[in-house]
Amino acid sequence: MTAKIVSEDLNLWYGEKHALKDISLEIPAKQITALIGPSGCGKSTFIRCLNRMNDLVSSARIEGRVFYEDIDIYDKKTDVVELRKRIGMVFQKPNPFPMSIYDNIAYGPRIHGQKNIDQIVERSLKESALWEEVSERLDQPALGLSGGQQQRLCIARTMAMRPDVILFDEPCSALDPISTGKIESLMESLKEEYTQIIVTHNMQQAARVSDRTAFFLLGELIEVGETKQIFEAPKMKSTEDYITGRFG
Amino acid sequence: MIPYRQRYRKDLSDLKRLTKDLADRVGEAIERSVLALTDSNVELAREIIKNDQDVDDLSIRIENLCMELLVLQQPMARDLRRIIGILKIGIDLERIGDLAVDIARVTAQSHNKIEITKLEFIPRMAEISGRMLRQSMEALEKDDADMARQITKWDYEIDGLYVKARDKLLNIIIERPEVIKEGTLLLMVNRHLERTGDHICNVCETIVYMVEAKREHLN
Repeated sequence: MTAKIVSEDLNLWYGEKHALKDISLEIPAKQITALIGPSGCGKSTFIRCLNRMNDLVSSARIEGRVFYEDIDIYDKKTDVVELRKRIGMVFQKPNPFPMSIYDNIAYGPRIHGQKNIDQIVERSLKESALWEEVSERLDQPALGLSGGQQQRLCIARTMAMRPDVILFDEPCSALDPISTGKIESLMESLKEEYTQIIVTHNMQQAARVSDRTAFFLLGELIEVGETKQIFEAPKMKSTEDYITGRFG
Repeated sequence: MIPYRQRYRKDLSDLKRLTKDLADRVGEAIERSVLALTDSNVELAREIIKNDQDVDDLSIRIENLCMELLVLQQPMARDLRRIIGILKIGIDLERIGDLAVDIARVTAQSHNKIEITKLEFIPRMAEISGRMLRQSMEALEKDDADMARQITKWDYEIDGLYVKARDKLLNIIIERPEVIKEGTLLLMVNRHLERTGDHICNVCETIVYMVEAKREHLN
C-alpha cells in the first residue's frame, strides 16, 4: 500500500472547539477511502484540511502535519493554488458557475493558460461520463442541467485540472438513486488514475464504493480498515454501534 | 429518549426466539423418533412424520424474516452476521428435522426383529443430541462463543457411540442373516444420529462466527 496522503497527529480547533484530535491516517494511492461518522464528528473538517480549505475559516487553528507525497501541506512555502490543482474537491451541493457547460470546464485551464481547451473539455466530460448527454449542447447554460448532471459537471470541472487526488464531500446527498449510481460508477472508473476520498453519511454508499473506511467520532479517528472488515466485523464497539444504527 | 429502530431490534430478537422454537421442535423430534423405534410405536412415528410440516413452515418463516430484514434494514456488522448465521442455522435445523422423519419411517418397517433396547448406544446418541441442541440454543441466546465451542466436544462421544453401534449391528447381521433388512435400516438410523451431531456442530460453528466473526472448524 503506497500512501498518497499522510496525516500525523493532526489537531484542529475552531476557536475553543477541538474539532480534530490527533488524527494519524494514511490515504492509499489509487484507492477510494470513505470517511464515515455522525454529524459533527470531524470527517468533513478532516478532508478540508487536505487541500487547506480550512485556511478560509478565520477561527481555525491547526497543529500536526499533513503530507501529500513528500510535500508538507502546511509548510509556509507550499503553494496553495498549486496544491488545490493537485487535490481537487467536489462538494455536497452541485455548484456549477452561471455560464455555459463548456465554459464551466474551460474556466480553470484558461486561467492557468493551458492550450487545447477543446480537447480538455471533451476528455473531462468523457471521463465524468457526461459527454454523451451534453456534447450537442455545450454552449447551453450549465444551470439547465439536472442535479445529477450538474454534479458530474463539477467532477468534470475538477478533472479538467488533472488532479491527482479528488475529495468528495457528500457528493450524492442531493441526488436521486439513479444519479447516485452514476456518480458511484464514475468513482469506480476513476480508481485507475485517481486517489479518491469520500465523506458520506450513507453507509451503504461507503460499503459499495470504497476500498477502505475510516470511522470518526467526536473529532477522533476511532477505527480504519478494509471496508469489508469494517462493515462485517469492526474491531471497536463504537464503530459497531454506529454502523448497526444503535446511535447516530 | 426516542426509541431508535425499535421495530428492527424487535425483529432481530424475534429471529432468535423463532430459531429456538425450531431447535426445540427438531430436538424433540429426534428424541421421540428414537423412542418410537425402541417402543415400536408406529402411532408416534406417524405423528413425527406429520409434524415435520410444521418444522418446514417455521423454517420458511424464519427465512422470510431474514430476507425482509436484509432487504428493508440493510443490516451491518454484528446484525448482519446474526441474520446470515440464523439463515445457516435454519438449514442445519431443518435437516435435523428431516433426519428425525427418516428415523420415524424406519419404525414402520423394522417389525422389531432386532431388539433395539439391546442397542443401548442408539438411544444414548439421541439423548446427547437433544442435550447438545438445547445447550446450543442457550449459547445462541447468550451470544456465548466459548459455550458453543464446548458443546461440540460432545460430538466425539456421539462418534464413538456410532462406531460401537455400527460394529454391534454388523455382528448381529452376520450372525442372523434373516434380519439383514432390519439391520440395514438400523445402520441408517445410526448414521442419521451421527449426522445429527455434525449438524449441531455446524450450528455451534455458526454461533462462533456470529459472536466473534471467526470461522472455526469445530467438528
